[in-house]
Formats: sequence, structure tokens, C-alpha cells
Amino acid sequence: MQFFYRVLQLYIERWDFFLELLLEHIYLTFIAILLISTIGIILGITMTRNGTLANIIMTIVNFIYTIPSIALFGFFVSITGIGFKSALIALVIYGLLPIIRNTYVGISEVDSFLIESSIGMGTTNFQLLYKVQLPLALPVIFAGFRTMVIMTIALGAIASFIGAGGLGVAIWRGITTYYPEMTFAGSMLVALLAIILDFILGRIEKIIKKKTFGI
Amino acid sequence: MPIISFQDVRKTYDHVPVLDQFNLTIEQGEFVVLLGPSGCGKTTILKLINGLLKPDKGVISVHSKALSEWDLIQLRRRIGYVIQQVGLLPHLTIEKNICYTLNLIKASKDDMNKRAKELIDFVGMDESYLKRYPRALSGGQQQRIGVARALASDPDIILMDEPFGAVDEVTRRSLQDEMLKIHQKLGKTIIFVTHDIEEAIKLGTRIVLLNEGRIDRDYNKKSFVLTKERSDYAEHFFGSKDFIAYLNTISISACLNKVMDISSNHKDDYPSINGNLSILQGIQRCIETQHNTLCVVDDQAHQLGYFSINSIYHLL
Repeated sequence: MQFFYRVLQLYIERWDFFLELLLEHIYLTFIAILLISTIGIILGITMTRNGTLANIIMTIVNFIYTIPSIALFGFFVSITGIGFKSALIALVIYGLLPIIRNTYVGISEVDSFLIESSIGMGTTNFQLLYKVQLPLALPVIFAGFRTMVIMTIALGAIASFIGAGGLGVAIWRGITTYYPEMTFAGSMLVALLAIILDFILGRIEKIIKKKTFGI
Repeated sequence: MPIISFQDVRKTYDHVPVLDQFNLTIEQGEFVVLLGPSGCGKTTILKLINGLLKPDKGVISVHSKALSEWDLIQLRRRIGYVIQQVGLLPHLTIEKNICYTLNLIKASKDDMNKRAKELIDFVGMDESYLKRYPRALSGGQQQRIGVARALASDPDIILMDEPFGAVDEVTRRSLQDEMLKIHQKLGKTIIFVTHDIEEAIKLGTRIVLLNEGRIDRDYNKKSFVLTKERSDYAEHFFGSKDFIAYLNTISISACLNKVMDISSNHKDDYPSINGNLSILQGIQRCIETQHNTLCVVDDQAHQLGYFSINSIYHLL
């Protein structure tokens, strides 16, 4: 109990420090999420139009996913240096998998008779995408988005190890100065951020599912 | 002028020909049923008409213009398309589903709203369904909406691929009646694919029997059933099913004997039957009551004439 009391005290005394880290964290992950979603959905759609390309992209993305995240961050430090840019690139590359895979799978799994009857009624390729495929794949894409958001927030803590700021700074400082309260305080905020966002996104996911499939 | 024509069309899947040297012309206003077992090429023929499939060889023309000269998107918007799985979009309301093609051509909201009400009424459903989603409807209701959707852009041609294959018997019969009504009222050219003999005989003004991509038999309904020469294939496919189905499609009032050479004071001796029933039911009643002659009445029990087995000879 003593420990938690000291953590609480730390929050009260250093609230401005934690607030700044939290905002940095949100800023970094928000930009990463934006980039991942844009790139991921575009790649996912492109894959549904070209089977060979789909295999190649899927292999690459799966391969990247097997690299330990800390190694990926280290790798980009040697290319783009220490700081925000390297962290952002690593986060984006790492976060692509769930979005790409879910966009691809979501669109591919739209019933073929829906596609065929839509084409048979005179739907153009573009109309097919935004009137039929994307709306019907939305629940699956959004599930991937939710996974990606939580993952990126958690991974964002490691981004501080390469000097990108964010809540990882508190964790890192706690570890290096043997100050477990500090480590715990930083981790708690990361977890809290992830849990709150997961809850909100979970609600939205339910609404989308209900709108699309009625369940 | 044929509305649709196939000239020497060849279509293969993985080098196996499904259609070869295939010729068919369909005139405006015909209700053509393509009949045959699965794998005979009937669905392929349908999909060649709206360009979902491309022929390997030969020319397919719609409205006297080869498909290769058509803008396929524009053509498809002028052809209604109904499939067995219906294919209503689950994320759109019934209204938006009905107006799908109208929405593609960016019709005005008022027009779409009006058309949706017109059509849902036309297929015998209540307007309150417009705001619902497809999942709230039974299979039969969904297919009614499927038909309404196909009619939305007022196409000249409607393609139907085993549309009533997945609904129960009673619903299917009422949907078939609906299609007959639509054909009579609107005079559309309908190309209807089925493997159900009764459905084919009931609906078609012309029936085309297919056997492995070749036309085995192609006549208007009456000749289709009654022309004696039949291939072994047709014999095997039909047995007597087509004939029975045919007797089932003609109503008793279509073959009345107005005058009978029986004295009027005996007329009460004959069992009566409603003129709206089919000849087959008339024959059944003859056998059940062991009478050669039946007294035909209308819904108000007014006497219309007489029916006997002899009186159907001139029809056959």
C-alpha cells in the first residue's frame, strides 16, 4: 500500500511532467495511427485487386511482424537517427499488419454473389468499392483498426527509448535510476490510455456491426 | 427484330467448352425459360447477356448492337438481374436496395422515393417495409424486393437466374404468379433460368431445353409440350412431367363446352367445379366423382358451362 501511496504522491507532485509526457505520447501515436490507417487501407484495397501483389505484401508485412519491436526501433536509429522521425517510421511499419490484413480479408470475404449481382446491375469498379465492398468490410477493418490503436499506444512507450518522448520517458527513467514508483506511474498511464481507447473503440465497433449486419 | 441474339457463340471454362456453336434469338416481349439440369450452360447463357462473362468466340447482340460495342455499365443498368441468393445489400434499407440502380445513375431523391413506393406496392408488400433492413424479411419477401429492384430502372430485359429456387413451395407459387402478372402487365422480355419443369411450363411463353450447351428442344409452350417427336434426352428429362404441368397451367374456363346435348332438367345431376381451377383438377374431380361431365361455375356459383375430358381434346 505504501508503494501505491507513493505513486499517487508522485502523480500529484509531478502532474505537469506526466501531463506533458501523456500529450507527447498521444501526439506521436495519433500521427502514427493516421499514417498506418491511410497506408494500410490503401494497400489492403490494392491487394484485393491483384493476387500476386497480395502475396508479396502479406509476406513482407508478416516478416516485419516477426522482428522484435525493440530491434526495429534500433534498426531505424541507424538509418534516420535518434528522435521522433525514427520512432514514427518504426511504429507505422509495425502497425501496418492488422490494418492491411483486415482490410484485405474483410473485402475478400464479402459474399461473391453480392459482388456479382452488384456488377450485374451496372456498378462501376469505384462504386463497387465504396458502395458495396468497403461498407460491408467495415466491421472487419474496424476490428483491425482497434487492435492497431492499442498496439501502437503500447509500442509508443518503447519509442521513448530512441528519444521520441512520450510516457516511455517516465518508465525508462524509473528503470535507470531504480525508481520503481516512476516506472509504475508511467506504465499505468500507458495502460489507462489504452484501456480507455479500447473501450471507446469497442463501443463504436458494436455500433458499426449492428448497422452492417444487425448483430 | 430480335432483342437478344447469340451467333455461333463459344464459351469455355479451363478449355472445356460449355457452349459451342450456340445460336439463339429472343424476340421482344417473350418470356423465355432456359431449362436443363445443372451444368447444361443455362446460367452461362444468362451471364453472357449482361457481360458478366465474355464469349471466347461469336457475337452476342442486345438491342441489335453487339456487346463489344456497348458500354457494359450502361447496358447492365438497362437489364434487370435477379439471382437465387437475391443479393440485397445488408447494410442498406429496403428502399435504398430497391433504388440501387437509380442511385447509380444519380436519380433525384424524390424520384427514388416515389419509385420505391410504387414498386413495393407492385410486388404486393406494405410500404412500411421500405425503412427496414433485408435481414428483417423472410426469404420470399427478400426475393419480392429482388424483383422490385430489378424493375426499378424500368429495363426492357430482365434476367432471372433460378430466382425462386431457395424459397418454400407456397411462396414460390405466389412469386411465380407475380412474375406472370408482371410479364402480362409490363410486357418485359424475361429470360428465366430454372431446372424445375413445372416452373418452366407454368411461366414460359417459350421454353428452351438445354443439354450440355446445346439446344435440345425450343418451342412455344404448347408446341413444346405437345410436339410428339422428342429426343431420348427430352424423354428421359421429362417423362410425363411436362404434360402434367401443362394441364395444370390451363384453367377449366379456357375449355368450356357452352352447349351440351343434355336436357336442362338433368343438369343438377352433374358435380360442379370452379372454372378457375386447372384442367388437371377437373380430371381429378371426374375420376373422384366417376362422372364424365362436370358443371362449371364461377366464384358466385353462376353456371358457366360444362367440362368433360372430351372438351380438352381441341386444346391438345
